[in-house]
Amino acid sequence: MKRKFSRSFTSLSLFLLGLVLCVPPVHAAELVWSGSLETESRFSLGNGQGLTWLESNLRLQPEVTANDAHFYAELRYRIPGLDTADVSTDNAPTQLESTKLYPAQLEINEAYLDLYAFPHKAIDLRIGKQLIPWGTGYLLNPTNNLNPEDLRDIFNFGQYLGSYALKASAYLGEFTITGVYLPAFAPATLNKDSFMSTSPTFPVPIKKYEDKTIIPEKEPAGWGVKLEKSLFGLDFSISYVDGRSTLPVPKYTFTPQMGGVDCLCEWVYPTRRILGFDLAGSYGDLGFWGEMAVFFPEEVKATSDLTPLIGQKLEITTLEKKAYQKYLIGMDYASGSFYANLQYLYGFPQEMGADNLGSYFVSCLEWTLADGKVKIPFNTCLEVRDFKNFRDNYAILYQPQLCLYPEMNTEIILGVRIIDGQPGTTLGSLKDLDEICLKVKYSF
Amino acid sequence: MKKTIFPLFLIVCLLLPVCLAVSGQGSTAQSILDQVNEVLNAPKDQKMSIRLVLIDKDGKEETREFMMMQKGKEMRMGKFLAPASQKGIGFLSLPNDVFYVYMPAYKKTQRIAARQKSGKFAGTDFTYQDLGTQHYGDEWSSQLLGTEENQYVLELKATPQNETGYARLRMWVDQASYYPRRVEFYDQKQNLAKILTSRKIEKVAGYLVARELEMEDVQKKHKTVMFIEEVEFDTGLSDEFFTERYLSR
Repeated sequence: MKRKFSRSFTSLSLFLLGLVLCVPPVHAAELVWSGSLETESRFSLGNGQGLTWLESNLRLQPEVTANDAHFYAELRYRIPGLDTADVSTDNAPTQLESTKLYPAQLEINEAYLDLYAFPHKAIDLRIGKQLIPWGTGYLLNPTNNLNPEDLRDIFNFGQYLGSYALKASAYLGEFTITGVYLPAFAPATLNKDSFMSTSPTFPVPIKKYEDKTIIPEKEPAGWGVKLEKSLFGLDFSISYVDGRSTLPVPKYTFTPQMGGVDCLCEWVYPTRRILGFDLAGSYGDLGFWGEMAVFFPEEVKATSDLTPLIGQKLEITTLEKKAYQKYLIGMDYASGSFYANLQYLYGFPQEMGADNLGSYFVSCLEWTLADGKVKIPFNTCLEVRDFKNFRDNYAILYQPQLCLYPEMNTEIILGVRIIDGQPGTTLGSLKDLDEICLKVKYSF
Repeated sequence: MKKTIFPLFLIVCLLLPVCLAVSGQGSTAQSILDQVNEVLNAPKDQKMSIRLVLIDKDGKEETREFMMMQKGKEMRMGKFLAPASQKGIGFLSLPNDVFYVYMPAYKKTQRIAARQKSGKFAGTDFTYQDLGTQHYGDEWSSQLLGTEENQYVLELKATPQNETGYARLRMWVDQASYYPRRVEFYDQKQNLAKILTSRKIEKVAGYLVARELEMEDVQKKHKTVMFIEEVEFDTGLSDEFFTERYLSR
């Protein structure tokens, strides 16, 4: 039934798109194409791996704008380099498939239709695959939990994939109410080096290990509602989201075997309810913002009957049914060619569960020189897992960059990323991935 | 006693005409400035298509295009149309130093500190504040320096509540139309920082508008020429246009 609804929803979107493109005002409007071509290369520092990342992206953005309607899409042709090439050396060179030698993916990141003042003059509708902004933070948003994360590039956090959704915003005087319905679940994309990598520790030898991902298909991904208002010169919003985690959680079951156990790791996407609150404002020369999200997660646990081995059943809980909070406070300051931004984040996007949240101090200092043709941002992130034992529980990331804009629409970024810290931390686990990065982007 | 009063009386008599002259000059300067404000702020609202040409010290040019709407003195909304790297970026400036920027890549409207209003607008020599119509209010005290080629020359000194970052302005105002043709901006060290020159001043729908405005950063030897390609006045823009709802469209 629900799957049927999802199909109907997609059909409805296409029907509306066709309808809007056929009605005279939109038909007369011009289809405008824009886009960008970007390529990024990364070279390892120190571990002798040389080139570690090579990827090109062609993005095309068709757009039609009319008085009361707007269509926008982003088509992304992703040409990954090194990490996804799947070439078997067992085959003769002539038998190698070109699609494996030169893999590429065409993705539709966004494709939506806006209907303004529809069905009432106070309501705007957005239908289709879309990014749903939620929260006031700068790239980091604890309350933003509707779109799946795009973690194929783990250092590009803050990137999300579009979700099929129906979004309605009602503008009622000083209040804005936004409602979102997501008819289909879409999980986050992950990288082999992503934070999700795990291996269970178990006192008995594991004879066989199997991974399995359980993607819920037969139910809607969720819904959310947000109420916004300006009060005392500040912008406030309160929100509620009911849906599934877009990041998987492992669920381990063990089957006794001779001399050990077989382990089945099922990656599941638990449901969760999130109560969110955010604010933004300014005081003198300072801009500031804050977000708080209270998560009410579904418990993830599995019971294995290991009586033959250890004389009892084994229950492993990987996500407790216990509410936890993530929050962010931030501020920024600009003066002349200098810009500074400082944020404190409790709970990184991929962290789940009350006992698994870390503290992160994220800063960006940026100088703009040569009439805006040169920018020098210096990004840092300090992670602290335990303030009482700082020395064993910290990691720090430095990322100085040189951004050049030699011609109009051309951007060249040369940067270094260095991580230092303890391996038990989230960032510290990536300390072997120090890199030099070169990114070139041309917009058209 | 009489000996004391007489010299005082004499001093008062001598100073009175001087004081009256100074105060008269002050009110003349203020009345000129009032006329300037009246001319610049005559339209109730305006909608403009603008082309900006940035010229660096080597003569190299870059172009930006954007549309802007303004209602009253303090409600302003703009959106970039070109170049491609900035297309869709928008800004909304509201009373009480409320300022938003819309970033299309994230589909997000971000509230930012008001200070950024006095920062450079998209790499040009104009600030966000310079973009709309200007109003020279209580943050400036004016003085008439004289006249030059049918133009009043005014000196505007920053009062304590001034947040523009400039110490003083020197303004050349056309005697016939009261339109400011040239404004010099002096920084806190009293050095000439920028020069705004208005050209091709013409009447559109009964209002004076400079079709070409050049802002030169004298210290950086960089200038930006703003061409008002299209302009409409008093179209009855609703307050609804100056909201986050319209900014994100």
